[in-house]
Amino acid sequence: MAETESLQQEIKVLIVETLMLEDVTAEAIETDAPLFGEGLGLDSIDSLEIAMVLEENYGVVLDEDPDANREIFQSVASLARFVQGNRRT
Amino acid sequence: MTERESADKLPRTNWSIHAERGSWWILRVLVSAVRKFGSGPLRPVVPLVALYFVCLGGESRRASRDYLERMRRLGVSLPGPRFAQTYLHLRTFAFVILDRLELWSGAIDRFDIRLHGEQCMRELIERKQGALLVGAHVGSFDVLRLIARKYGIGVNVIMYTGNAELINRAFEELDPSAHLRLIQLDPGASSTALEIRRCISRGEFVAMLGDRVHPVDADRRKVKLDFLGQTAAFSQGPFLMSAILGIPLILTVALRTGFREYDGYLTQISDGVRIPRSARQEAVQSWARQYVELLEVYCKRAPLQWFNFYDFWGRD
Repeated sequence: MAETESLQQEIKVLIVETLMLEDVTAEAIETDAPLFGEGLGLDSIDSLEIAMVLEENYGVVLDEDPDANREIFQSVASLARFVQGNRRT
Repeated sequence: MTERESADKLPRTNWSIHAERGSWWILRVLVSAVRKFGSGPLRPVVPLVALYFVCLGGESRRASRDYLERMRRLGVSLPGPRFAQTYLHLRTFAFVILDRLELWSGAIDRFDIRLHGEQCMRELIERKQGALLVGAHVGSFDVLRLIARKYGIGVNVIMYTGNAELINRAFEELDPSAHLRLIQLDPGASSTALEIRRCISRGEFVAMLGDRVHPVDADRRKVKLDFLGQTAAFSQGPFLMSAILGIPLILTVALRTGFREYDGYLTQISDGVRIPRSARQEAVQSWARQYVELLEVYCKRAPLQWFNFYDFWGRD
């Protein structure tokens, strides 16, 4: 449980740093809040950048399957679940 | 909320409303007609269609006049007598559309295209390196198919539409030999950019039109540049993708020079090196500026082939 929480925290920090979000701190991102649309308002290019930084940091591979991605990129919680299940580092 | 309802809520200057108007089914009927009877029977209709839009297509006519006036102010000489130029502009557009129908109906061999700047394409194909092919609503983008066919390369076309799958199927039906696949652009969704990355990593090409800003594009994704004498907003999207992924970006434009004749121009704008975050905005700005400057060159070369018939400058 503590491991999951620290991974979620790590991912939040990565998102804020990678996307250079102004006025948003890692603490302000809710673990279960949607990242796209009405949530953080991220777009497709942001998801590419998040995918690349997760791949670099955890050795996961993100595919192009739209349905799988929609689930993975749902929230920080779902990103963390994906990393936990697929990480190689 | 249906697509139409959401489109209705957008400002009127928004081009996506125009996209709504074009019905895919009408297109299919026309393509079948062209396939069966050739484009011959439709050619005499073209001037009538152009006249119809001059008389009744309020927004198209206004947009054409506004654009032509800009060109005159820039000292570009336009063909034909002044009173007829809007008609000639719309007629050129109708002819290019008829050519597209003919291309889609499988008459690709009847077209003659002279390619300029092919060298960059050849080198990429030799290295099995994919690239972004960025076009504009200038001349014809469908001529891309001739290029795809000539080199036997797979081209994925990014389209702003809710019907990508339907259109893909129809493409297949119409011309199974076409190496084209559509990808639906949905900037709010998580997947489009990843899909583009995947195509490029397979050594394929991804084509998109770069001269329109999408209704869902956030302000941070726009770049404002001087275009034909006034500032207009352009999308950073294609240029950002090139910088982030380190993939070459090639401007692809084909201008109609005569009956079934086109001049295709390929210009490599970025060479496919990943740009570190700190230098990214600067690179994107400079590539976008190059892109826009080249569009100006093509507009001046073929002043009646600018086909954005809406308030282009006032759109943001």
